[in-house]
Amino acid sequence: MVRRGWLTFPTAALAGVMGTASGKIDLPIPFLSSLLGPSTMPAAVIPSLLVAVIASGMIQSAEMPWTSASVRNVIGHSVATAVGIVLVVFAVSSLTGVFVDDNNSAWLMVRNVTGFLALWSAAKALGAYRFAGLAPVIYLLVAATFARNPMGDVRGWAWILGRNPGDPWGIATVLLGGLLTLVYLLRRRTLIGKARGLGTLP
Amino acid sequence: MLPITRRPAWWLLAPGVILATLYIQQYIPSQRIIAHRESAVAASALLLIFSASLVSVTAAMEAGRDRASRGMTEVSVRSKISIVAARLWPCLTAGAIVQIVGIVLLLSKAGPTPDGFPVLITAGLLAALFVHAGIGFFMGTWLRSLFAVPLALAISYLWLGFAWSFDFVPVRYLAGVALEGCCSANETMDVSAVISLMTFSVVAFLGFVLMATGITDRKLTPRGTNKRMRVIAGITTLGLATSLGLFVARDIGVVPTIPLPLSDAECSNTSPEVCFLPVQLARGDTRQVYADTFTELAAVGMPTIAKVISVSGDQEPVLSAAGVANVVATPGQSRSSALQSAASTYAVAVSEHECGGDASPDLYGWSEVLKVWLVHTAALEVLDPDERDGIPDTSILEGNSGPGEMDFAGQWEILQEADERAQIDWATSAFSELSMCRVPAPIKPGQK
Repeated sequence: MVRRGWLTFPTAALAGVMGTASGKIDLPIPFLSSLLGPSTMPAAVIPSLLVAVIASGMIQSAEMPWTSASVRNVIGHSVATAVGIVLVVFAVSSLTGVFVDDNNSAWLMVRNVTGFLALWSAAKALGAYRFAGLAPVIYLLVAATFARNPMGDVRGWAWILGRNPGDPWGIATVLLGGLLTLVYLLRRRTLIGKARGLGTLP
Repeated sequence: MLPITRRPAWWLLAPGVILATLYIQQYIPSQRIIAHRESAVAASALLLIFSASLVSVTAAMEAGRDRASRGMTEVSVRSKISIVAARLWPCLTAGAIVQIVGIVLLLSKAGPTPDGFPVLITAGLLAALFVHAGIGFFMGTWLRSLFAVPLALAISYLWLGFAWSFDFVPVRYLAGVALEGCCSANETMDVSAVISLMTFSVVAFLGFVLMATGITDRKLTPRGTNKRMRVIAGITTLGLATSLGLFVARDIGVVPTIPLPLSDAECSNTSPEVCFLPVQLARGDTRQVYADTFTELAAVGMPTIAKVISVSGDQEPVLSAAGVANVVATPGQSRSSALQSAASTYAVAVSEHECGGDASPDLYGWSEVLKVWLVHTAALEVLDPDERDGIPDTSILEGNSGPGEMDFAGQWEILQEADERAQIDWATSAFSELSMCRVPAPIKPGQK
């Protein structure tokens, strides 16, 4: 489930509009530029990151400690909400994509949000607890500093800096995150670390 | 004092240092900072991404601990300042350690240097960490750590990453990463860039802390106390910090440097006289090569050079009417690259002429042919045979000669076939034609 859904879902929708409409803009990254002139990332990365951080935080803060013993599968509800967020972004982005005539950017937005949420969900499944929301931000930061090898090619794992929604590394990230989430969902406890209540106090 | 295991800063110190080391090893080439302490320390501004992220994440975690353990009816015994200090000192220390380790590694990469250690730039970069501590502390007090920690990291990253390329240039110096544009061997840091960074960071830190202490929440403050004024004061302080920083940095260009005065240069006894700065001479003295090259080329009809200097191109033209040549001399330059730098002076000078929009696009190609000839001719006289490998570099001629355009690579081959007298005649006439923005006549095959 999600806390403050009235804030979370509209945020996702707004980010979908903004990310898709600014789809063709590139933002320069300073940390990759020392050898090769400025590098860039698509502007849509920033709204998708904000959606991921806000949505993941809202979802996780609804997982109260006492619900871990509940008959209802609270983890399942969280996963379903995350999927719902992706669906909202998909609907809004593709609609905006029709208006601004830019389907690629719409798919990119959906891919980014899904990828970031997959990273969060994987971190959560592995036992990062309340710091799981850091995983997407750290991934972006590391990609924005180490994505190029000294020859100037972009390394495959830095799919977030690319503009290809079908990037196999991006799909692999989503699949791996989904797999870890599935295992977590069935086991109902994290893969690493001792058993403890879901979502420890903030 | 809290036990060491309860301070996230110490736990995250190791990854921070490792990432900074990897970054230096991979992306900061030693020729960029060689023999120049100032440039090495300025290059460490790129490492702010690691040190500042560490500071803001750990500050958010620390502040989050206070937030989570605060009781409904809590009365604080310690002063606000000592609470903030007790929370933030490990974060700032850990960030400073990452930054200082980076500086030490970069200094060792730069090797022995003639210039002193730039204390001010180091102090400026360490001061830059304060604003991130402020961001983390504010976010950690305001939101639960579930949101605060990722958002503090994202805000720190966005501030460092995007202030850097802001169109309104003074904003770039508020974040600090732009200091990495300093310095070539003939430049020094513009002090106002560092002052701007320090002023903004420290004052903005105060602003964030004020805002953090003023946040009201039913859980955070006893009912009845209204601390809205603190938030307003904090926002005002942030505005003050920004305007102070922008005011100090108002005159700085895209690169935060000022040229070193030529009076610091050491001149040789050669003819022409060659004057280089100590950093340019720190890895071997190539002044003799420059002098020999210009003497040789004057002998084949190029204008005589009276003095050779190496300053930035904005200060001095490449070749002035008074016969002062402005070359590109870097520390550690080999004899052959010194020769190329000297010999190409004439060709660069003509290609930098303002010829207007309707000038022939072939002018550039011809100046490249002239450059290749100058380098080739000087190399035969000045360099030993084993130093001439790869000289002259004709690849740029092939790049210029597209289908349907003038075949400059072919022209160079024809020029090479001609006898010495004809070559010199062509070069002198090409130089004077190009200086007047006219395209020189193609070289005729068999012109002996």
